[in-house]
Amino acid sequence: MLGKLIKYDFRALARNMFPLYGLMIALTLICSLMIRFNLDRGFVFGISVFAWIVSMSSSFAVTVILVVLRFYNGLLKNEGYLSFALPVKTETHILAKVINALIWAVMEALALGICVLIYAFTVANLLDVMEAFRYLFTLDADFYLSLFQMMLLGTLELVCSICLFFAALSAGHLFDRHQKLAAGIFVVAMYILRVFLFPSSFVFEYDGHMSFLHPLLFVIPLLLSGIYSLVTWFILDRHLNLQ
Amino acid sequence: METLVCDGLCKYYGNVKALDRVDLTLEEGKIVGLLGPNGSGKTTLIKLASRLLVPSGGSVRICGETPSEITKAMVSYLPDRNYLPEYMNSEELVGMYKDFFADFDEQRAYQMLDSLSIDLKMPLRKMSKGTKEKVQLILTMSRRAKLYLLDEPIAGVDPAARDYILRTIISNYDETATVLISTHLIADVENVLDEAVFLKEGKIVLHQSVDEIKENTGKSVDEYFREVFRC
Amino acid sequence: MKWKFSDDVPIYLQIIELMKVDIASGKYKSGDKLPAVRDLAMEAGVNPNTVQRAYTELEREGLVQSERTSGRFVSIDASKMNEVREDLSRTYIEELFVHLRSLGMDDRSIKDAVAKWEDEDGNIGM
Repeated sequence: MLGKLIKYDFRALARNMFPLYGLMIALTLICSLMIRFNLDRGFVFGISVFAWIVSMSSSFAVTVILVVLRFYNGLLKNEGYLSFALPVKTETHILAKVINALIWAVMEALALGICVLIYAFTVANLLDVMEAFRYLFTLDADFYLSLFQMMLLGTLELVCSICLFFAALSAGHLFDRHQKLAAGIFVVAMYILRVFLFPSSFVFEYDGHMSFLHPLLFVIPLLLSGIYSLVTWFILDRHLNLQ
Repeated sequence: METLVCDGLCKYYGNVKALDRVDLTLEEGKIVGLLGPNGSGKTTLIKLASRLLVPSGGSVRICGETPSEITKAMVSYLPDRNYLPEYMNSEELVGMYKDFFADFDEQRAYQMLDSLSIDLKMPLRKMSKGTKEKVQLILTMSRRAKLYLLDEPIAGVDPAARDYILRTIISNYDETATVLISTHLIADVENVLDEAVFLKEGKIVLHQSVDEIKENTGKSVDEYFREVFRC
Repeated sequence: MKWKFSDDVPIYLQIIELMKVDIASGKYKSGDKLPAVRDLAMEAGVNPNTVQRAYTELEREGLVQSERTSGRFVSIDASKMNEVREDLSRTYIEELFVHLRSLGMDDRSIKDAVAKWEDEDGNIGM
């Protein structure tokens, strides 16, 4: 059932995401070609570059917003009547939504990667690009270890944020009116609470091996994700308030 | 066999008693009307049976099971609103129901869609209100469920669509299933009902067979209802 | 057949009456097959259990016989058919008297009125 839930959520999001990523890639291609063939001045170029920069810089936020909206529309609005009538446990619904968020984070990264490659191969000198790749292979294991840890940390923090949004939306849903406003207040409150309860100052006092990030950096988002998900589960399973 | 058993079932919203110690047993093979004015607790009862809500007290059981993902596989629920993704078309919806419900009869669904000449590729958002409700009903009734929970299936559609909806219900349930239809439009449904349950301010005030009501009172269920609920 | 039911009498009783009319009038003859429960329910827009109950009652009265695999058949001889017809006519005449008495007519003037009655086309009733 988990796989099926993910499949339908993926399809629902793909309707919005793929055109968006397509636009971003197309703009990259257009702007890169304009630069490549020295058409990089004038009104048309200005507009294109502006749209390109906006699409690149907002794409991550848009992805997050759409993923969070899918949770809201799929479980807490009218479609919730269908979702919660499916022979599926509440925890499976939540897990499907989190996994879906991760899938779209990867899709987003892929789309950005394609944009970078397009730019690299059209604008930059091919030899320079090759040189850059060759340089990557000369880096030592420590670099890749750090890179891996940073990526893992980024993923965990992303999951943590998504879970926080889910919990805040679910908590907002407990109110009979102004649900979205309440959800917004919960998001801010939960972030403040996090900073207050888990200050990250310990990172600077860390004297372990330099190649390894402080373990707590990984434990905290993991722990918080668990807590947020538990809150979400409790509300959706025991206090569902579909209107 | 008992399909639905409520035992002292209560649901409170704050201080409001939406359902107050409801005892109700529905047998298989029956079409039962859950009748009451707006706000009498009809939707709350149906939501408790489909586990969209958790009881404040007492219990509800479906084929002996407390509502869970197991009972959801046996219960076909039609909410009182548009609950399907608006961007999907009938063909995709049939595929989705087939994916999620093991008891879904795809052929039956296509037969009914075909008899209404519904364009399988037309997304819901482009359909008229009446057509949308028919598609929802077709999907709900194409399952071979043990219990059908239909919340206001005929409210807000024209008389011809009402007729279609009721005939679809009659022709699709079988002797081992129970159909619970909630409505406040009693005159329209009473000919298809075996039993009537009157719900008033969260309490059951009557649960009787329709024939008994007519024989004992010499009135239609609709007339009798108006008498019981006179303000 | 047009299916229209009055509200205050159980529908299964009304179906029984309609079937009896069809039998008494000869529309259904002995050996004719009755529609399946579900088909009749669909056609009349009523609950299949109601049709089932009507059929069971007709069987009990000996007007219908069911055969295990092939369905239900009208089973009636001439004397039984007369009996049904008489039963129905008695019921209808009784209804007529009930209505006319409620208008304040006495039985004698009712009989006179029936004897003098003719329909719109001038066909004489008696």
